[in-house]
Amino acid sequence: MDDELEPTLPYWDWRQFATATHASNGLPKVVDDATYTNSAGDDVPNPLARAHSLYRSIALGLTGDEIFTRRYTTRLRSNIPLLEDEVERYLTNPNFEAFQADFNFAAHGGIHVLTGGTDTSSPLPRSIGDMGSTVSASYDPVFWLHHAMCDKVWADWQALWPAANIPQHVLDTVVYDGRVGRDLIDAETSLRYIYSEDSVEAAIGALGTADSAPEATLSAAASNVTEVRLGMVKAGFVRAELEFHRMRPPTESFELRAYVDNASCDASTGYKDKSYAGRLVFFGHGTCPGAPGHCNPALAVRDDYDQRYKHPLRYEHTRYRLDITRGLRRFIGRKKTVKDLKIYLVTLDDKGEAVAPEALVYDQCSLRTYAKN
Amino acid sequence: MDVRLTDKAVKDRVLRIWLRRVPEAGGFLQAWHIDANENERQIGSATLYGRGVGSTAQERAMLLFRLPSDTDDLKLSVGDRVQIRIEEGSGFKELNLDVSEIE
Repeated sequence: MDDELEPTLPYWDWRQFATATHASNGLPKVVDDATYTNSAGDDVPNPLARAHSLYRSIALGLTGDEIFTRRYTTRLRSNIPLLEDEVERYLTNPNFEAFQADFNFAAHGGIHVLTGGTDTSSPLPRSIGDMGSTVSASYDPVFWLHHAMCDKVWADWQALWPAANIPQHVLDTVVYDGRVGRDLIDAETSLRYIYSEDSVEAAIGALGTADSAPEATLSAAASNVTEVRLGMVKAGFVRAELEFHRMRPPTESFELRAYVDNASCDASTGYKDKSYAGRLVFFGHGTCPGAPGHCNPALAVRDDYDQRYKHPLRYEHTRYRLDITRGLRRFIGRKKTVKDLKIYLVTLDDKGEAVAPEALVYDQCSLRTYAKN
Repeated sequence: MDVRLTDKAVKDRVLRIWLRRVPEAGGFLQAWHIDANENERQIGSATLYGRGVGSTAQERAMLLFRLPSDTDDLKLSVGDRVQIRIEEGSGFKELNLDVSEIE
């Protein structure tokens, strides 16, 4: 993957269930709800709930609503404890091929059969849901979240058994684009991705608002305040954070304060104002004491085989988080949602005086909320 | 389809049945222990992720049944007869699969 990008691919941890985040049938709400509310506040069809299947429309010649994938999940929820137990059992086996067989044909296949299910109304052969057979499964959007989870289970197994013997044919087989298994088996190094324990809701929350968080410096009278528009926010979160992406570590020390829906905030607004939501304090790295170029991260590029830590001033992967939970809860009060949430940011120097927002440089600010487990 | 419990299955409490090719039809399967007097008892279940109608998939597949611990009225032994059935409608019916190996 490109060093400059940090795409997020969600995985569905089918070992978990929580009423706040899952539908009663055991599926995460983000894939089960027929609609979702977009950042503009409009209810629109959920693209993760169903999709047009070419197996249905071309191979089976179905038309109308029957071209869309379906799930009949009557047994999924009751099997979640079994799936959790089975994965734990398989992971204890350091034998690659034994783990592969047990995991593939039990939990992996089990999710396919449980998520697909059967129903007499299904137009598919044997009245199954799309996930229930290999020829139709990948048209269901949940297929990809399931297989991302399977990949995570493999990563967990690799972490548990780093010295396990990998069969030669796995190492030698061309997997993709001429690259053999040996070159790809260490995902973090070769494919440049890791697994996060953040919830899907948190990831969607962050992504959903990141695209709709235009910032603007206010009028000249309040030019030291930055307005961040975050769109619609739902109540009921246990934690809310403002994330600053690709923030450049500042030379001087600054304090960044956040106020909810208070366009007139300034350095004197302080911490007791009811709109105050939280703050971040940046400890400036100071001027460079080294030779020319010493503190220029552009001159400290690491290649794939360079084991040194990243240059401390590189900002590509920085993610500063400002906890605004209490302030945002106070503002939302008893409402279920707030449309067009606006956060105002004030940057102060080490003397406590407001400075131009440009003193802190970052690419984007987004809101991340965490649902109850 | 009848199979016989292997030493490994009894010891590990897991019955693994390898199929030469992933079947077209999948679903929920049950394993029934049948004693010499034809008394039946369900001892395990498994899911089979079928290839589906129209698929040319050739891969082999495995059925994995977790077996129960011995109880006073059911003790599993090597060579015991086990019948594999697949759910159909509201019940289960016997099925025949192309078995290559039983573990």
